[in-house]
Amino acid sequence: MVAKVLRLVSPVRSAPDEATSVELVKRAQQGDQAAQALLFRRHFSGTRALIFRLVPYDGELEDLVQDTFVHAMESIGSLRTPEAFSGWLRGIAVRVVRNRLRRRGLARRLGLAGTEESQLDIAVSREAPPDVGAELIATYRAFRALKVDSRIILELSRVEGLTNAEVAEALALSLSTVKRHLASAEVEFKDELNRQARGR
Amino acid sequence: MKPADYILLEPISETDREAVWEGVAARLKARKQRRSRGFYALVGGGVLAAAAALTIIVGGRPTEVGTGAVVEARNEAVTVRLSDGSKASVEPLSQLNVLTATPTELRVALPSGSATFEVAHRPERQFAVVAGDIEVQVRGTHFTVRVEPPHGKGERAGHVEVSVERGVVDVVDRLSGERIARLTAGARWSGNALQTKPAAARVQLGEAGGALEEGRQLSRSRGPNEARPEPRSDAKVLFEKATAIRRQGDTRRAMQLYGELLSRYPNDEHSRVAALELGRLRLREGDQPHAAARALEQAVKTDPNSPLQPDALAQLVAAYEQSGDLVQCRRVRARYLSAFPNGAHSAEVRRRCP
Repeated sequence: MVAKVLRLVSPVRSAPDEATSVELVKRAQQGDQAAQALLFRRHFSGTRALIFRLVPYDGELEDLVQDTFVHAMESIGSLRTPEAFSGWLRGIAVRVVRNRLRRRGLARRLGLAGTEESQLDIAVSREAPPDVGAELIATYRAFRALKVDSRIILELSRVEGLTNAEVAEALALSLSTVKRHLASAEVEFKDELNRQARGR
Repeated sequence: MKPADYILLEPISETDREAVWEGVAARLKARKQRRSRGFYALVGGGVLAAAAALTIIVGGRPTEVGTGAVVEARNEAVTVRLSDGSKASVEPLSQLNVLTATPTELRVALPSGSATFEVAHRPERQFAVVAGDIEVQVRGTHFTVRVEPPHGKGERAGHVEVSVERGVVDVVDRLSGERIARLTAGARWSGNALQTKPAAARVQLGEAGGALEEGRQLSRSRGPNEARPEPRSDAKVLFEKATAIRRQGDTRRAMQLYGELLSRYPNDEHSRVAALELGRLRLREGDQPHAAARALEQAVKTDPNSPLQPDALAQLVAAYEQSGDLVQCRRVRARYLSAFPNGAHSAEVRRRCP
């Protein structure tokens, strides 16, 4: 009976959701608020998860998500390729996080921020292979000591599994710059891992 | 699977997700309204035209106003309808700002003057009137708030008076969140919005007890021998309050509080960050580049050796560019590039005001 009711109700309620992302982006670009809301709902979880992985200790997760979508919806008119919405939105989220981390770094140096860095540990699913889980935890511990830009580029590459081209898109950098930054961040990261290993 | 898929994240309910969207939608709407007002102000040219665009002239049925609206009554009273069906009658020479108008929160500010509110009964929605440091919180009632201009002279500068005709309202200290008084029908409260409420006065009010009952009047005016209250010394509380409100998406109110912090505690260490935040928010709102530049100039001057200096200078370059003041823009750009040639913002700064 429940299934029957659901089948009856479902098509009607989900009809607006059936629009493709490209259609929604085009409608949102014309100021259609319903399309904007649908795009938000469709991309909310992914964006929230990405921001969380970039700053897992942050008590302002929803704040950062909100900032990301405000920036996105305000500048959606400038998106020339609606098919690229996901990558474009990811770039905005990364910029929002980077700005927040930089401001927080400055505030911390002034003694105006808390010690969130000490909470830069993550919870790993039980389903993760042991080596992957251990590497993730070690990675995030090492992230604490890295510069903001190094941390972000490594997170996108090592944790999100993005290609260099996708990282370049998210950071609005050229491919060669990304390769250079990534190499430098890897050195910084390995030094930190070695330092932590010696400290044990 | 990529490593990211193994990182656990606490799920969020649909209700909370929708609350985030409400915040996004409210901020987008507020910015759109501000941009629209900015456009009309430009078309009109000059302060008079801007004031005319911001003033809501009402004839017959009250006009409905939403987030970001500024209701200015000059020679005669103006009645407006708020988004939840409540009504506000703004007395002559008074101004009412609608800070937030969402299904769950309606927040208005009365910088000066007097306004009477007929609040629709909606238990799910918070209704608050901000008057300086005082906030009047209400569920459904008819009451009047009167505020003396905060920059006026004499004892009554910033004086707030709340009188209730029907229902119940709470008078709350905005900074501490502490309730100062609960007023029922016929009750009246008065105090100064610019100064800290002395503890003795609050105790006296609490002990009055019966004064909170219907039909009674109460007043919290300072006695002739009562010491003038000391200015609030806790800039940190104000800073944290402003930051918390900014995080909730109420940018306008956050900017007001950062501005208040700067004017009240210009030498406090929090003022450096507050000036930068205020400038950044004004710049982000897009319609206040001149005001953003003023705040950022303050951030730059406060401590030239501060680690905030590169951020403040870079934002200041952007503010001057946005305001069209290319002379100042180039001056600050040269200063930034001279001090931080390889700084995090150097590429962005180089592109500005060519």
